[in-house]
Amino acid sequence: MPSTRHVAIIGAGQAAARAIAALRDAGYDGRITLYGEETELPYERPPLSKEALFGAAGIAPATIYDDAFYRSNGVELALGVRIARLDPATGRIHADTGEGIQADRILLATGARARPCAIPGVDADRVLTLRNLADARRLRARLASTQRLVLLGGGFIGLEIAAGAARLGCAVTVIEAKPRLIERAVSAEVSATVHALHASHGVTIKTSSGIVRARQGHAETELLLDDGSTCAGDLIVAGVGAQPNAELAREAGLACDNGIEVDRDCRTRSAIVWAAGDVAWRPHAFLGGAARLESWDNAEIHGDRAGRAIAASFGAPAPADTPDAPPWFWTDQYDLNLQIVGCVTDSDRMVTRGGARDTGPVIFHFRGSRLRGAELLSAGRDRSPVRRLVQQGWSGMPDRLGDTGVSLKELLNQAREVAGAAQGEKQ
Amino acid sequence: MTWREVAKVVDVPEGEAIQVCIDGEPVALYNLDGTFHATHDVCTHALAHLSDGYIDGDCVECPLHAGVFHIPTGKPVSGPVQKAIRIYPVKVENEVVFIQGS
Repeated sequence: MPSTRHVAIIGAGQAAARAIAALRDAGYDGRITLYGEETELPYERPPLSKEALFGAAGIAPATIYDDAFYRSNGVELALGVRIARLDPATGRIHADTGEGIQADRILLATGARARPCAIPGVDADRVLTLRNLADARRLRARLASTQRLVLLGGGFIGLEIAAGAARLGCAVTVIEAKPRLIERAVSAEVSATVHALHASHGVTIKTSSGIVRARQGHAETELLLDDGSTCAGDLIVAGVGAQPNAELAREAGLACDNGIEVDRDCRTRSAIVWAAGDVAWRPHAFLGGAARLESWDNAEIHGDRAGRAIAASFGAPAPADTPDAPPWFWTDQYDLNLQIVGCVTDSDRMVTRGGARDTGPVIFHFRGSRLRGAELLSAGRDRSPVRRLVQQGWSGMPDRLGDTGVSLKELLNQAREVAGAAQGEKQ
Repeated sequence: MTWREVAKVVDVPEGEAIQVCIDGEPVALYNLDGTFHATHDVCTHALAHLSDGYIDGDCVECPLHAGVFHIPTGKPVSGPVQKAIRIYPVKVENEVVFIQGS
């Protein structure tokens, strides 16, 4: 591989960092330039709604690799640089300063941004969102003097902020449009558990609620809700989802759906452009179709896959086509660590496995006779066997998964034996 | 370099780990098919305890981000972990487990 080759990575988040590690690991020895709008080295986002806001240590980015990594891997850092446009046919890239850059391969890892939440009658700067380190800094500073906090949206981000603020002694109200919390990602049972947990910490939760009107005071904002009640806050934070930063790709003529369309190798319709992470719309065999996933785990998987596929396009061995693992998300609220594996929102049968030793319960979700997912409530220890079990599938009686007399390891071995035998019969 | 008594053999079921403390540091003590090993208990990637992790063969997977370490050597195997985890010498005498501190 001649070292004059140039891979440009646009967007400096987690998928980008993982792609760099994978490129070098796969033997690519050409140039790599990392372009990022923020001035920080790539960092992890999960802490932004947790330690970064409420930790005693204060705010410091959880960088994925330190500068020595980029130095020793010969990565050119172009941070604080916005890329304005690119040509997917020639590999020509233009920074918004007008500077032109020539690349042989381009990886778009531009991520997603917080969906704006306009409230009629409220100045936009009174409604904060949380997506990056600058947002977290702003929010942390404001939270220190906040007595009444209103959160729009009862999803992961909103509820993590609610939990931290409630612990600080804020009066917290969560306003959610849907009938239950985190409806998109967890089962009704876990929604109820999370709801009760917040209520027990004094958080007011308004589900199926919308804002009718608002009145701005000097420091506080009063919101009139559609059930006729009002709530007031001196700080409003919106956590109503994110949207992909796909404009660069779309304007370049690359196919975009809910994100940039890519194949399993994270390659776009252009032979020299890849996309990875929150911005990518990629086929997912476990989910049975293409999906755009916003998670730590997905950024890891995409970054690694894209890096190896780009190296392969220069002649390195093709990446192994490992089966797609069930998607995995987690959230920390108070002392609850909730992990979600696979599909848990459309199940028609649940089996609860009571917590063993010092861990909480695991709720397995079936659709028909198929095991499709699981929710782990402070049971991180069980995550690995549970995820493998969901991936492997379970053809025994569903209730067997609830029998704590049989370890998860044994259940996993049984599932593998059955799958192995079925494979043997086929051959 | 002193040997410290940390547990009895029966305290650690096969294929599992417990947390012990050496010189004020949390240490994970593993029983792999009757052979004992010890590593620092805090993952080199983020704050999580490897003694709460999943042990598969001679590797442990962190319960938080699924970083995997090779227990006998402490080397990172897969996942987000880059740095090896510190390992400690272990010996067993009369059904008692000792770990060598600093």
